[in-house]
Amino acid sequence: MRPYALMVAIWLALAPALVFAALGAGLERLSGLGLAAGWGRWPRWTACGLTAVFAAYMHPAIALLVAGLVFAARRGAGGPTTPRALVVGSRDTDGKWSALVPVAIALAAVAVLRPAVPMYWDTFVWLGKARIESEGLGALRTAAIDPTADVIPHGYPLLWPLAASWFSMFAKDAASLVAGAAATTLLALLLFLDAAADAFEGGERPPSGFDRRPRWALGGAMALLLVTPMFWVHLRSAYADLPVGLLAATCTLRLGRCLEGAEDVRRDLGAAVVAAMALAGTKDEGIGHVVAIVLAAVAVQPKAGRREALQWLAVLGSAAVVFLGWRALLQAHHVLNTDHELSTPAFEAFGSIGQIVAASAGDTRTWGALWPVAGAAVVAVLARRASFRPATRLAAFALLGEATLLGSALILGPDRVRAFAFAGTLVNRLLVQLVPPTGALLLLGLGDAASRAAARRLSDAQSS
Amino acid sequence: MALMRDAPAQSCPSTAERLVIGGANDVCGPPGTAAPAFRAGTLVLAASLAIAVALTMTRRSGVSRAGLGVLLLGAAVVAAPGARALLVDRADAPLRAGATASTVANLLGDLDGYVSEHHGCVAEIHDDCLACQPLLRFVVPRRVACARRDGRIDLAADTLASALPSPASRPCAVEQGALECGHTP
Repeated sequence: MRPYALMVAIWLALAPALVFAALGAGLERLSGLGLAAGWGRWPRWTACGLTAVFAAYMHPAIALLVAGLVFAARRGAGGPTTPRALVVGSRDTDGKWSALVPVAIALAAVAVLRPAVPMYWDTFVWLGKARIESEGLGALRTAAIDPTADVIPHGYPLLWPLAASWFSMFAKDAASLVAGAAATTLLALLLFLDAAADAFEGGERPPSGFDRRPRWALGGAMALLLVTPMFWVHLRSAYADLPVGLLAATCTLRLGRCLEGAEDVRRDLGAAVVAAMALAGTKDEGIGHVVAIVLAAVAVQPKAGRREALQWLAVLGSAAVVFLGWRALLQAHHVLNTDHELSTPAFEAFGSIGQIVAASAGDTRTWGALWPVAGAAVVAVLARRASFRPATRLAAFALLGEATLLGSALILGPDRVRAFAFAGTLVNRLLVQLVPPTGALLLLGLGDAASRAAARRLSDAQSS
Repeated sequence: MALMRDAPAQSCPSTAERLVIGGANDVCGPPGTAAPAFRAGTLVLAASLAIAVALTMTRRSGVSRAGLGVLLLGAAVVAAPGARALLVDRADAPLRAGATASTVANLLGDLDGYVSEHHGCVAEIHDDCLACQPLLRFVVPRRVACARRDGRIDLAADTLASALPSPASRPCAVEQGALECGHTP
């Protein structure tokens, strides 16, 4: 066998990505959700096409229900239709993106410049599932709902292995499948960076006491996230945990921008719906993230009107349709997802689970200073709510809710889940899912602190 | 997912075998494997950084470029041992990834070739190699209906540990119709 090249064949994903993007662009035209703006339109369209194909792949009824919710989302977005000339390639959006281009290129390079062979346990398992799809479109679905086929892990959602297969053009060899998984991770990463650039800009104009969030704060906060060693391990793996976190952060940032009063929220809402569907289709934890994010939005804006309620319904509903639709399919075919069934709460394990979570989060070789910093940021935002804009408060509540839901899964899940946690193979991977939401909180929180300082300087200059 | 993991006395996943088993679970072994003084020192630094972040975010004067730069420097110092593990110690570190990948790929290629020759219908798999379990799952991702099953795969406990990265090395050999892997003399 020849020595392995230290680069994955990412170009394999170009043709499928273009097909998905074309489909996404068409769907955007039909639905009226404004996904097209700036360079970020490409990952948005691609993700839209991918999730639409996935919904139809699972069952046509699921695709129809999601289409109904997108219609609700359109009503929820409200507002005038932005003239296309102002949307496509707007200088403003491209300018925000340009601040993140070096970050995107560096991250993409690290994700791609690696051996084209699986090297970690679950990578083989996920790509093994992806390999089933190489027998033909629908092969994985057929195998996954066949209890005799012994596809493990049993009953897990299918989007992650399917995307790896589709982006590798139904490849059977490990090298191409690794490239497909890398492309899927990159797609989630681009959605996150795109959402970060938009959310950092905030709504139409900053509220009283704030100036625009400065770009250097965006770069600095992103760098704080990137000095987390575990982030780099998972960026180069084919595990689904980092993409789940990136999608959760995307959903948070998009809904946050809706709260900050952007005049035309269709793009944010459309991207939030796509991210929520992808979350529910990637892992069962995904629906937990979406629930936590929507509850956080309700907590930040408890006296919301019909428009906001429709937005939240669209986000939560589209994820719920994907999650429940898949569960219904499993039930109809007598397939049990034994890893993620609820069981009698193991309250007696509360202390030992708390200990292992604390020990894992305090492991600075794996996490650097991320978790103490994340805790401090949450406390700071919740203690001084008036000092932070709504999107930042949403990010703090969402992170808290997501951490609580993931933690409670260790108590409410089956014994097997706790066995994995105590063996040291689960807690860090759940924490990986919280890394991008923490990044979202840091960039908004530090951005607010920097924008307050700028507003104060401006005010002092005017008064003097 | 690997239910077993490395003995606490060991730290970074520095071999192909240990990388496959636990390489994505942490950067350099479970928390208990770090020296107590190191853990305490970096945790105190991380806690100080956390307090600085909270104060920076809440104070009226906000955050400046220099202040953010100092926070970033502190975060980089705390993360430095993990970064060293990523860049030097782990089997997937830049200068070692090629050899590790070849080791894994050689075994994966042998397994995949044998299973493909039998159209996925191998009669018996005897697996004493923990790190080989996920490779087998990749090679045989689902149970297929077979008119006839034949052949046998025998994976010794040291299969991946004794495999070599050389492109010419073969971790497995077909003997009397069975694929024998490992068995270091």
